[in-house]
Amino acid sequence: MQQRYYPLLPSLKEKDNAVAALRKHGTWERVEPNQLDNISRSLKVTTADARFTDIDSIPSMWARPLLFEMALYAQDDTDHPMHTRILGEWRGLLALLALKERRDFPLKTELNQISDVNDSELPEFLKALRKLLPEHTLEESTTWDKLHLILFDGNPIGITSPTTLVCTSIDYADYISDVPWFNGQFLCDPVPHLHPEEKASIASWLGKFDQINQFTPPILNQKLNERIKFIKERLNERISNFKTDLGEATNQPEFSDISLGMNQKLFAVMNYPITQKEFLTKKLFVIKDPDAFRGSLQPKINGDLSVKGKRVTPILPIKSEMLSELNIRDLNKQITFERTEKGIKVTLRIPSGLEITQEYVERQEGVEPLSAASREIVEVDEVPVLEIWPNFRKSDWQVYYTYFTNADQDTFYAAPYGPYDSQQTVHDTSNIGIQKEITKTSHFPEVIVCKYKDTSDYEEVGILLIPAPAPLPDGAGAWNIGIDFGTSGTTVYRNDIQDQQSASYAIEFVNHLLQVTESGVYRERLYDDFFSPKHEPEQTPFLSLFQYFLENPGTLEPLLNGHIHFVSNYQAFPTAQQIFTDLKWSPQADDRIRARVFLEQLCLQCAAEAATEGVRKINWQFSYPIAFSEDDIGGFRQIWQRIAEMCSKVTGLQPGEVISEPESITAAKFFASTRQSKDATGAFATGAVCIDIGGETSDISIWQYNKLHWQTSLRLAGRRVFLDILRENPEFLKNFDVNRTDIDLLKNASKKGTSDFYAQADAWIAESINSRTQNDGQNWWQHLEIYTAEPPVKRFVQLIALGISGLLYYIGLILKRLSQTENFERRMPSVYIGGNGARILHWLANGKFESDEISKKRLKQILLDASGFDTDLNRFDLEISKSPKEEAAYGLVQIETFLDWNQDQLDKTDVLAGETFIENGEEREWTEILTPDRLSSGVRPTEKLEKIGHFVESFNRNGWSGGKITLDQKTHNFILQQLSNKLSTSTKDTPDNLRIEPMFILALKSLLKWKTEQWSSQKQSMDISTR
Amino acid sequence: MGYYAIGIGGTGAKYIESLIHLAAAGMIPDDNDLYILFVDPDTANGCLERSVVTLNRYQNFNKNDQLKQKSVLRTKILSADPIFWTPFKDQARPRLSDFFDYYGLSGSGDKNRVAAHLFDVLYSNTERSATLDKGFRGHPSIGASVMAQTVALEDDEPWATFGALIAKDTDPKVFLAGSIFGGTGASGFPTIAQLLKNQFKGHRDKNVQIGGALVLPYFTFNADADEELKAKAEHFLMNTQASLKFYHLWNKTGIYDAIYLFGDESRVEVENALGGPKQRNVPHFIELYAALAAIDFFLKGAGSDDGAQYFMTAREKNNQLEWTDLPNSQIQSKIRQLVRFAFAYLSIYQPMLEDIRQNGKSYRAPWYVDFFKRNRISLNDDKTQLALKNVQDYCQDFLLWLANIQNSVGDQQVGLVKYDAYTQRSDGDHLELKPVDHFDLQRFGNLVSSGISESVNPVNRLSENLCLAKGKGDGTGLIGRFLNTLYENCK
Repeated sequence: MQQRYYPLLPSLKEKDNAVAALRKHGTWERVEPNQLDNISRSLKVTTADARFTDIDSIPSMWARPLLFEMALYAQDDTDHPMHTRILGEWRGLLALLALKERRDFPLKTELNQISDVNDSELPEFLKALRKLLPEHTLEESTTWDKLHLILFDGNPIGITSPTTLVCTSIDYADYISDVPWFNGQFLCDPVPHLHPEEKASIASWLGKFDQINQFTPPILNQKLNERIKFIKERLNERISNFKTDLGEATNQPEFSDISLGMNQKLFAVMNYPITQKEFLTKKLFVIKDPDAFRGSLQPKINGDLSVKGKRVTPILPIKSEMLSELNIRDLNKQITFERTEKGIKVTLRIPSGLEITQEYVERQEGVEPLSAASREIVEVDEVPVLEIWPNFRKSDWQVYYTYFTNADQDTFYAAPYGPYDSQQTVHDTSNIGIQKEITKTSHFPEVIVCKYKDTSDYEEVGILLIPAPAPLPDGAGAWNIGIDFGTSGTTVYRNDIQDQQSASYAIEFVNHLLQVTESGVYRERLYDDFFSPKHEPEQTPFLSLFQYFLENPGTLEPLLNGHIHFVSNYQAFPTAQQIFTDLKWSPQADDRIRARVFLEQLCLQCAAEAATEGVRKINWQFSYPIAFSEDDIGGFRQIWQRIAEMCSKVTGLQPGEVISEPESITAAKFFASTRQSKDATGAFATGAVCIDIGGETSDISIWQYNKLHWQTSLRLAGRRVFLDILRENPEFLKNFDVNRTDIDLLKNASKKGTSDFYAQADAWIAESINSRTQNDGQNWWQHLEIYTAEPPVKRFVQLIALGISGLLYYIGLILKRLSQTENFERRMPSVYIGGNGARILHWLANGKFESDEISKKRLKQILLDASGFDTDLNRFDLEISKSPKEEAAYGLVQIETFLDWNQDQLDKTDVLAGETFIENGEEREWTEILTPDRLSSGVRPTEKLEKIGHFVESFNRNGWSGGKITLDQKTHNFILQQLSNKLSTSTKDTPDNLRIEPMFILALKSLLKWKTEQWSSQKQSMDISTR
Repeated sequence: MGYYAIGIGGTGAKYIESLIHLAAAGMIPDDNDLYILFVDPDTANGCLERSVVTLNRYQNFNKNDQLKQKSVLRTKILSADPIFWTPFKDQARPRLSDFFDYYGLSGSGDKNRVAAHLFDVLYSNTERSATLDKGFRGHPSIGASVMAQTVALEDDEPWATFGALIAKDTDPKVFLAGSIFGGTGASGFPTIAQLLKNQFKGHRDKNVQIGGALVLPYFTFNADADEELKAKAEHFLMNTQASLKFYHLWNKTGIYDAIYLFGDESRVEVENALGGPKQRNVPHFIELYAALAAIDFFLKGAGSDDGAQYFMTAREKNNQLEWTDLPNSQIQSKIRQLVRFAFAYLSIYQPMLEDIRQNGKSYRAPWYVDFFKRNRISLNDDKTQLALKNVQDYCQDFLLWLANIQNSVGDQQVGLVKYDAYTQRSDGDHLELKPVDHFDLQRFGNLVSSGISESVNPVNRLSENLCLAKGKGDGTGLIGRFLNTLYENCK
C-alpha cells in the first residue's frame, strides 16, 4: 500500500476531497493546474450564514461581478459559499426589472461607458477599471466597457453583466424599499413573494432569454472559451430552474413599449418590462349626488366621500378590459375609496392579493384642467337613465334588457359589460352622442361600463356593479295564460293548471325593473322607450298599442326596436311617436309583424310574472275573432306557436300547449261561469246569446241546452258604433264638460288619421272610466246620467242606439233562421253582452244599463221583432258583463266547462246574409248563408233592402229618444251604393282572404254612417254652446 | 543572474524574513545576489518592521568589511531606498474614496456621476471610506484598484531601482509571496505579477522568470466585535475558496512560471490587530516554506511549459514537522551550522571577547590570540565593536526567529530546533533569548534535531578546532577569518 503523506494545506474535507495525493514528503512536487480548483472545492469551509457573509477575496476592481458570476454558476454552496445568496439576488434583480411597470418600481438605468484610457476627462476610477477589464462575455459586441447601471430611486443597486446579465451592487441595503423580496440587506429569491399571475408573467418574460443561445461569443484563449461555454450552459440552467420555480407561463403578458434603455444586444433581452396592467382609469368620475347609483353595489368608502365639500357618488374607476382578471362578484369589497387631502384615494385589491392604489386629485376652482395624463377627479352633474329588466335571475332565463338614455346630456353613456346578443342604439341628432340604447343580453348584466365624452369622443371612465339578484327557486307550478288580444285593448288571465278549481285572475304586470340610477324626471322616458316604470302594477286590459323606437327600425325585435306602449297619461299620448294601433285587423304585413312583436313582449312579461310566482310550465291560450279570414286564423296560430316556442327558449319555462279559441266561445265561457252570475249555468241550459262587443268586432255565440248552435263575428263594435260617431264631431264633447285640452287632443289625433284617433280616444276614455277625480272634465263617463237627457246628447245617443239595436236585430234574424232550419226551440234565449264595447250600452240607459229596464226592454223588443219569437219580455234576460273586456281572456283559461261544441262548428265560417241579395241574377233570401266562394263569385244587394227597412221600423217603434230614424230615398241610395261597393270589392279577393260580413250588417253600417254624417253636419245647431 | 524577492503584505514581509535567514545560512543558490522589496501600504506594520530590522542586521553584517568572509551571511542582499513600497506615500490617512475622488465624481457632471454610481456598485460605503494606512483590510478588491493605479515600475522607487536591475539582468528570477486570504497579499499577488509581466515579459533577450508562493491560511485570530473593516479570520477559508476559484477560472496564476501552494491546517492563533506596529505576528514555519519555495524556484527556474507549474509539498506525519518534511535537502545542515554558530558566538565567544576587552588575560583564549591579537584587532576600537555588535545582533535575530519558527507550530510535534536551550518565556508568553550566561551549553550539540547523538562535547571540540586553526580562516575581513573558522567548525 502506498504511503500516505499529508499535504501542507489548510484543513480539507474528509469526504469529496479532490486534492491529489502527493507521492513524497519533504519535496516540492509538481501538481496539475486544476489543483487550484481542487483545493478550492476541498477546503473544509464551515458554511456561513450567507446573510452575514461578506466575502471579498477577488483581487480585481471587477471583483463584484466576477464573484457574482462565480457564485451564480457554482453548483451549490459547497462549490461556492455565496451560491444560494447570489442566486437569490440574481433572481430578485431580474424580477425587479421584469415587474418595473407592473409594480411601479422606481427603476431606471444609465449607461456607463468606459471610453479610451487616453481620454483625459475620463475619471481616474474608470481608467483604473479599464486597465483590468474582463474579456469574457456571452455576446461579442456586449463588452465590459459598456454597462448599464441599474438605479432604484436614483441609487445604484446593480449593473448589467456580460456574463450574468445582471449583477447586484456589493451593498445596497439602504437603497431598496417596498420590495417584498428584499430582506433589508439584499434581494432574495422572489418566487415565494410573487402572485401567481406575476409568476406566470415573469416566466413568459424569461422566454425572451432563449435568444441568448443564438448569440455569438468572442473567440479568446482556450481557457476563457471553455469558461464562456460553461457560463452559457449554466445560464440556461439557471433560467430554466427559475422558470420551473415560477411555474408555467400560462399567460402571455404584454411588454412595455418603454424600454429600460439597455440596448446592447445581450441586455436587450430584458429591455422591455412586463406592462403594468392598468386596472384603474386615468380619471375618477364622481356624481354630485350621494346616492346617484341606487341600484348598484356600493363600494367601501372610508369616511365621507366629498368633493368641494359636497358628498358624491363615485363611478368605480376600473377599466372594463381588466374585468376578466378580476372577480366581479367580490369587486365591490375589493375596492376602497378614501378622501385624502388632495383628493380621493382608490385602493383596489386584485385576486392575486396585490393592492393597487391611485390618488385622484381634486380639480381646483379657477385652475386650468390638469393635463390629459394626470389623475384627477371629474365631477358630473346628472346621471343617465339606466334600468335593467327583469330584476331577477332564474336558471335558464336568458333574456335581459338594459336600457340607457342620456338624460339630455350627450356626455354620459353606459352599457352592460360583456358580450351582448343584440343592441339597438339611437343616436342623437348630431349622430355623435348616443341618445338611447337598449342592449339585450343572455345574462344578468352585473357590470355596467360607463363612458364619458369630455371633449370629442367617449372615453371609458369606469364601471358600476349591479348586485346580482339571488336566483329564483325552480318552482313546480303550471299556469294557463289566456290572452285576448283585442283591437283596442288586450287582456290577460291566468289560472293554475294543476288546480282547476282555483280562481282565474287577471295578470298584473309588476314592475320588474332594476333602477340603477337616480334619474329623476328623466325616468318618464321609459314609457316611450322601455317598460312601464310605474311602481304600481300595470293592469289589464291595457291598450293594444305598439310603438317603434325608430322611424324605420328594420328587423323588429321586442324591446330592441319597439314595444308595447303602456300609456302613462292620455294627455302625454300625442307626444309619443311612432305609435301603431289596429294591430289585430290590419291586413298590412308590417302590422302583422308589429302584432307578433307586441305579443312576444306580452308573453315575455307574462313569463316574468310566472317565473316570479314559481311557475315552471305555461299553457298559452289565445282567442281570435271568427271574422278573421281563414288565412288570418292560420297566420295567427303560427305566430302564437312561434311566440310560445321563443318564450320557452329564452325564459327556461317548459313549453305547454298552445290553444286557440274563437272569441265568441271564450266570451260564452265567461258568461257561463259563476264569474257573471250564479244562475248562468241554468240560463245556458235554456238558451243564451253571448255578445262580446270589442273595438272592431262583436263576437256572438248562440246556445241552447248548453250546445252551441251558432257563432259569428261581426265587424260592428265599439269603433263603428261609438268612436266613429264621436270622431265626426269631437266638439260635441263640450256638452259633457270635457275640457278644451282633451277635445283638442282628439281633434288633433283625428287629423293625423283614423288609427291615431282610435288610440287617443281609447286612452282618453280609459282614463275617464278609471278616473278617480271628481271635479274635472275627465270623469264625465261616470256621470252620463247628467248629460244624456240633454237634447243634443239625445241625438248622439240615438245613433249609438241605432248601432246596438241593429246588432241585436241581426242576432234576432239568426235566431229566426235557427228556429226555421235547425233544432232550435223558438224561445228567446237570455242575452249577455260583454266586451269593452258593452260599456256603450250605458249611453242608452242614462249611464246605468244594468238598472234601466226601459232600455233593456227596447233592445229585447228588437230581438223579438227580428226573431219573430213570442217570448215574454220578462222571460229572458239581457245583461251586460260585470267585467267588461275580461270575458274572452277569462274564458280562455276556463278549460273545464259544461258547454258543448265541436271543432267543425268552430271552423265553420258561414255567415247569415240577413238581407236579400242578388246572385247570378237571381234574388236570394235573407236566410241564405254567405260563403267566401259566393262572395268571390259576385253578389249584389237587392233594391228593396227589406230587412233594414224592417229594422228601422222596429227601432222607431221602440221609441228611442232623439226622434225617429228616417229611411228616405237618399239614405236608401247611400246604403245601396255602399253595399254595392263593398260587395264588388269582395270579388277582387280570393276566398281565403275574404273577411265575410253579413249583408244586413254592411247595410246597417252604411245607415249608421249616413246618419252620423247627417248628425255631424247639423252639429252647430245641436251644440249647446251656452253650456 | 539575480534573484528578486518581493514580499507583499504581512505574510510577504515574513517570507522575506525567512529568506534572509536562509540566505544567512548560505542557501541562496550560486551565491547570486538577492534583491529584496516589500510591498505594503501599512508601512508601520510590525511584521514588515521586523523583517526590515532583520534585513538591516543582515546587511550590516554582510557589508561590514571586517566581517567579510565566504561562508556565513555571504549572500549579497540588495534593497532600494525606500526599502518598501506603499501606494500612499503622501497620504497620512488614505481612503479609497479620496484616492479616486469619489465625492468629486458624485457632485459633478453626468459622466462623473455615472462613474460614482459604478463606484457604488463595486465598492461598499465601508470600503470606500475606510482608511487604508493600515492596509487593505482584507479586501483585495480595494488593493487591486489602488495597485493597478499606482504601481509605476519605471518611475517610482523602489520600483525604479528594481526595474533597472532587472533591466540589466539577463536572466532574472523574481519570486513573490503573499497570502491569498488577506488584503494586501491577495490583491498584490496577481496584480504586481501582471504588471511585471507587462513590463518585462516578452522582451527580446530577456528571460524574466516569475515565481510565487500563494500562501493559504495558516494562522487565525479571535474575532472581535467591532464593525471596523478589516480582515476577518472566520472568512479566511471562504475567501481562500473563492479566491482559488477565481485564480483557476481566469488563469490568474498563468502569468507566473511557478506557483507554490501551501498553508497549514492547525492555523495557529495570532494576536488580532488591524495592521500597524501591533501586527507583529511571530515567525511561522509556513513562511519558512515560502522562503524555501523561493530558493527552489531560484534553483530550478521556470520549466519549459507555457503557463505556470504548480508545486505542493507534504509532510510524512500529520501534525508533525521534521527536517525531512522541509523541501530542501540542505536545510537541516545549513540551519544546524548557523544556529550553532549563533549560539556559540553569543554564548561563548562574544562574552569572552567582551571579558578580554574589559579584563585582559587574553591567554585564556588562544583563538583570540590567533585571530584578534596577532591581527592587531583592538577590541576597544569602535569599528571592531560595531562589527562584533553586527554579528551579535544578527545572531540574536536569527536565534529568536528560529525559536519562533519552532514555536509557531503550536501543539504540533516539531522536531527542528531545541530552542529552549537559549530562549525563555517572557511575561507576555513570548519567546525571548535567555541571558547568554543562561544558554545551555550542554545542549549545543543537539540544538538541531538530527537523531544523531554526538559522543564528544561539541563545545569543547569547537574551541579545540578554533585553536588548531591558528588564526587561519577564509575571509578577507580581519574578524571575518574568525567568523569563517567558527562557522566552518559549527557544521
